[in-house]
Amino acid sequence: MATLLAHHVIENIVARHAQNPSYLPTMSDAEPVVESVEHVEPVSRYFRELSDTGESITESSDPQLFWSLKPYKCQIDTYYLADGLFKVIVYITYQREGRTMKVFFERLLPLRSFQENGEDEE
Amino acid sequence: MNERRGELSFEGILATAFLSLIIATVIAVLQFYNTRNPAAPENHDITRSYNIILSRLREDSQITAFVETASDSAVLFDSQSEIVSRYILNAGNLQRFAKDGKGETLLKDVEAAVFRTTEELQNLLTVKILPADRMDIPFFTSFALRGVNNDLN
Repeated sequence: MATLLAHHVIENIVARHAQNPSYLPTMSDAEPVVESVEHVEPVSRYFRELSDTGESITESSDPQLFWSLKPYKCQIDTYYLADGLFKVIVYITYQREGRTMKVFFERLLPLRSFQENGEDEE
Repeated sequence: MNERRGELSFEGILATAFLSLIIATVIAVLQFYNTRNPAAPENHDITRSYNIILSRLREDSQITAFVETASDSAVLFDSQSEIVSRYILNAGNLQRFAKDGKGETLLKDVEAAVFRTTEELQNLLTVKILPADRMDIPFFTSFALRGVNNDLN
């Protein structure tokens, strides 16, 4: 499941970047992927508007998916690299037998749209 | 020393005891393994099916420009508006039909399959599959449609 969730986030970022080439994801702490009274943090932006009502997944809106996704959290790290590249790393974390497990996917995004639009700082 | 008929020699008793010990150990190890992994075969099956669904949708999304979704089906089109593939939930079976009409069943005993895009992100297909057996994990992920913008690959 963690692999599927990391895949969902990376594909979401790729789709947003395709739609708007100046879009770059922002860094975030480990955030929950479903809405629960036990979570004080906001739901990760990549898991909002997922239920049939267009909101975050809750226990009442989608119980089966809610209980499957509840153990997972999503964290984003980003880095500017040389040669006009931007690196994003998606971490999906969860607990197993008292240990924090982590699955991560990484993706390079081009920054050329900034340079073409003259928005980069040189 | 003469042996009476029906009696085992000392070596025979030792060999029988050793053989019994080996058989008991093998049975104990098998019991322990089965106790530790009671649902391993079923989990393995659904994981294998999910891997196939993931790879089919990944391949299709590479050349898909847009998608038409209904409550339990999706039709994927390329940039020439030709069908890439169709995914349909039919009588609890999730099926994929290729461009030439050839079909395959990707997963059986499915309670619901939801394919959707949003107003904000029409180039992102989100797929949710709920197995009929509530003990199995659901399938939930998304696919960026790369058919228009091939340099995303």
